[in-house]
Amino acid sequence: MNTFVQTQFEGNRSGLKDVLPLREKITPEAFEREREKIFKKSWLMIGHVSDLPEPGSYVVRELPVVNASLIVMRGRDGKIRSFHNICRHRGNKLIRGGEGCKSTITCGFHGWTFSNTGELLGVTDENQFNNLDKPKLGLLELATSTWEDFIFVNFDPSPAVSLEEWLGELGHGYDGYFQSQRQYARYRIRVRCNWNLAVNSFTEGYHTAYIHRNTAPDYQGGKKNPQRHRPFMQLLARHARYSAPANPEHKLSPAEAIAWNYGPTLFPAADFDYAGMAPALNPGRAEHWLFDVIEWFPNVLVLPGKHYHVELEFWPLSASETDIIMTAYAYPPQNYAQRISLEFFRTRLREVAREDMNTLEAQYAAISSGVMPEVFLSQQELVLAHHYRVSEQMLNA
Amino acid sequence: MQDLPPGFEPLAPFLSEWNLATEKERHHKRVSSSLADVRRFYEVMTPRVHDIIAHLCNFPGADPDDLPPPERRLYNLALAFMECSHPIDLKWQRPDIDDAFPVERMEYLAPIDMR
Repeated sequence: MNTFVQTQFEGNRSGLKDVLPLREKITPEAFEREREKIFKKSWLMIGHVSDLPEPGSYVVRELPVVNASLIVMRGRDGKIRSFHNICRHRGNKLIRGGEGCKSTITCGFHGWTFSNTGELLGVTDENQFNNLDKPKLGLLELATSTWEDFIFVNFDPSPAVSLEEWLGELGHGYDGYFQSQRQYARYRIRVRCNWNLAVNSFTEGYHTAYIHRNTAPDYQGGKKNPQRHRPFMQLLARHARYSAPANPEHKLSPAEAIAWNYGPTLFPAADFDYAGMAPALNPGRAEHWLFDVIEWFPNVLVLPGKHYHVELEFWPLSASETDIIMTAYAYPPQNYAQRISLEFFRTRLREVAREDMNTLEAQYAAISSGVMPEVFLSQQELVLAHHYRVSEQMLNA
Repeated sequence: MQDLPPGFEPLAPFLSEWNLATEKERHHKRVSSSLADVRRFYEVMTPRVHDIIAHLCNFPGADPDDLPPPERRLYNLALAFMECSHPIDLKWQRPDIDDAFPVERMEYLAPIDMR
């Protein structure tokens, strides 16, 4: 057997199904169950602390999967809260969209006013109401919690576990890593594909040698690992994480050599100097490490490398349609040389991702057609099997 | 006539095609060009990129809106060079990959200083 690198697995692999009847998991009926039992019960990553720099800063987030529009807001007390974007009087939408900074929120319908911490401050022509209990008519607030630079919400009125418990082991070892990086690329696409299949397409490395042969031919693997086996794969209580193996024999192309000369190496390139790296990166301590892939169940992936990280959000609109937002973050360029270098890596990342994205609608059309009863997974694709195991646990809870 | 900084005049014929201020424009321009045109631009730019970077580094900061107009054009050409590098460096048969999500269905949402 031509195998040089065996994956170091952590976590419970017993009972994992490597033959999956995927069609039943992507039906409209399955999606309705997922909305109630998964999306309304999970901690969902919906934004970044750094997007709310000062008291009153807010962003509006539309989350069709839970039929919600949210105002995510930093109050005058500095605390970040999330509110349903609904006036407590007659249900009008308080803020139509976008982001900004407000000390108070006034409804455009009858002029009720709320503070940026959610209290009902003022009711126009208040004397015409009988027994209005204003302290009970503040904005409808959701469980909101932050970790590093991330804001999570939970639609469960009393979440079963705290965000800290939800993240588990993944909540440790990244101290400060995410905070100083800022956006250098952001794309949104809408695909005719079930959200599960879309997440799945980015959570295995088996595909990299084939689908990415034109954009990332030799960044992974190498002579000692020609099949590009993941050096490390970890199946956690809800989430999962694995490392991608760097190819130490990667050959620089001309433009890439220019990029490497002037700036830090970003996706899809390696940096083998691991000094000073956050301890959670390269958790298996692979000799040739490229980046990690983290699945935050249910719908967010984070790909941290040494000098950058990529976030992928998968927001279902229905069983058959998903919005995918891909955002890349790096340390901000300090001069034009670094900015031009970054452009190489930014545009390459985009082209690599376009290849992954182009499989999604075909997969969905095929699997939803029902002609293929099952999907067969390799050991390198066990994060997919784990995703559906966690999903079943929540659906059956 | 749009100027480039002194010494970079030979790149002026490419301004009408490749002096593009946003990633979306550069990406769309690349995939709608012929491979021969992409290659011609790439080959003329390759030996000049180090000089371009050295020249731009005489200016403080990294925000392209702070550059004088001739330098801003030069900067746009450098970004377009990186955009055009992929089909040439990776030896594609076309200016776009055969099996990739269509550019016209992508939304480009990068922050304003990363256009």
